[in-house]
Amino acid sequence: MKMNNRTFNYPVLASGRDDYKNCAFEADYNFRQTAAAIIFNFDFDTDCPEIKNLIARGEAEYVVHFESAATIFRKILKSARAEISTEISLSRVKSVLEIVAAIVLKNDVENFYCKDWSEDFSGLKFNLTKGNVLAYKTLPSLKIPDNPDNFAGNESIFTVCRAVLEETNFEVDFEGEKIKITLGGAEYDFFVGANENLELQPVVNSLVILPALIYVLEELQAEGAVEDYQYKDWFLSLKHNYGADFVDDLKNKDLFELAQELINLPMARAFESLQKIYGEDEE
Amino acid sequence: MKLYFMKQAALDNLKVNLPTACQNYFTEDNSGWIKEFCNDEKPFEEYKTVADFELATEGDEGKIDFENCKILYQNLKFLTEVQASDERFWAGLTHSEFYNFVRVRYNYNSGEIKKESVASIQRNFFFHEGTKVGNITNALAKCWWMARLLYDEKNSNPFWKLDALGAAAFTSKIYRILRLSFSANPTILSGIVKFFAQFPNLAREDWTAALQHLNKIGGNVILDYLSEDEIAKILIDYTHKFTAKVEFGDVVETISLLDSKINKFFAGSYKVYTTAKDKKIGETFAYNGKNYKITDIIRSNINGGSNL
Repeated sequence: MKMNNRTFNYPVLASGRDDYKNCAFEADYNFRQTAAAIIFNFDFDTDCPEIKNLIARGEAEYVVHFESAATIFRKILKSARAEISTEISLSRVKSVLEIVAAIVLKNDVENFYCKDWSEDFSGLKFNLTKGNVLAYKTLPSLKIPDNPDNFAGNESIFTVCRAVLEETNFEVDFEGEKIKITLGGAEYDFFVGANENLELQPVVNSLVILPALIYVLEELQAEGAVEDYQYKDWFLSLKHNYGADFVDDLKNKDLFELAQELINLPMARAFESLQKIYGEDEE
Repeated sequence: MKLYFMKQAALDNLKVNLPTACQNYFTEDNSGWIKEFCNDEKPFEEYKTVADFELATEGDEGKIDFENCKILYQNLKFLTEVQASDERFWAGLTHSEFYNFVRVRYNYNSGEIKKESVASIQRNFFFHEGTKVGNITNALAKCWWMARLLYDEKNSNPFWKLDALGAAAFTSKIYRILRLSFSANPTILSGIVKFFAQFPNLAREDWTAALQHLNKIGGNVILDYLSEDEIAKILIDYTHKFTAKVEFGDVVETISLLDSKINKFFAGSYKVYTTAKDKKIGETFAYNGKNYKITDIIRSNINGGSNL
């Protein structure tokens, strides 16, 4: 959403516009990227008493507008609070994510005026409508590099094998370039069958992949383990997908939570799938 | 059915050499020539296997695209938005399983190469003018995206929004609706669908004008902030108002119009709304036992209204 070249028929508070004499609207964000999403934190601030008053009265609120034209994505975030967070799935956006922060009217407002307006608007009052922008700031766009392995999702860092020995039912080996999970014959057959069903995949991932990954992460917490495995393909892939904090979070973060983030929250998706399957059965 | 995406090298090679390769799309009914064209390098990479499905081929262009929105999305629902905006996937699909479908749909099988053929092939088989435009012009991608944006998984008919939009002039609707960046917001798009549902027979120039009006409103208002009903109301009110501008002769009393919504709006007015595009200034006509003379026509408007 491009704001800078817009012509408004009422005063708008924004950097580069001279509708207001001294007041300002500031907005900023920080973000971190997990394997599956970008998590944003926003801060807003304005020193315009009239606009602050509208927010306090519930007649205006802070808004963040996201747009990724390449993936036909637009999302709006609304809040009365000056600090807000949100998460955007990496499967929804690519190339460039444009971000605009604004203060927007929640209701129609009659006779709005501000003492800080420039001479051009001095003494005037405006009837404004819901959705009118009172203030805005175009924030730096986020560059999201195209992933050439977009369709290589099946090239998993996990490989699942059938046990040769009858008594084996679940073994995890991460000495190679992939994390090898060995299942007993019956479990393996179920895994292969279920994995072909798109709706069952998250369930299978929660039953097989998630515990295997938690086990590997636990092993990585041992002294010297990161140094030992840091050049394995599976380690590099986990680190690449999670981001620069991977090694730190390995030490400090809850491993269940970390594993969930690394493989795109399979528990939540598993429950969604089961609800869907259960719902269909009920019908 | 195996789904393939086209390797970037093959895609680049084909696009760069499209003026030379163009002839093949007109003469070859299977895509075997691509391998040779790519110096026998494997042009495709297997992505995954899905259940077999066929695309609709019956009816006019709008009807074909309308049906294929449902078929493509139903069968390729698993694609993420990032994957669905990847030219390699759609180039893979249009050059493998559905190569001949695209040829026939866009008449390359029976047509002759023209000056604009290269651009046309680039548009339908590849992404022309980048990802944003490619998503809404590629022969198959545009159908997937339209269905993706209008799919309602919570409804027993998840395609009810597509149905409400209707098959008439559908190809034009896809392009004109999706090229407006605000259509990427599902709430705004649902408001647009509501508008189309209210005026199922609206002429193309009239819904285009209404969408342009919405775009203009978006100058001062963050449209994403409005509800589905508020978006629909802007479009509906505009269309009603727009209709009011239509003058159809020196009519001196209220005429009962067949469209109740329009009638309500026109109550007490002396202006008449008509679809009778063949009427000329100076012509007289009879309506409800009275004679009227046309003194001026600004434009005729909505299809399916009163028949004067």
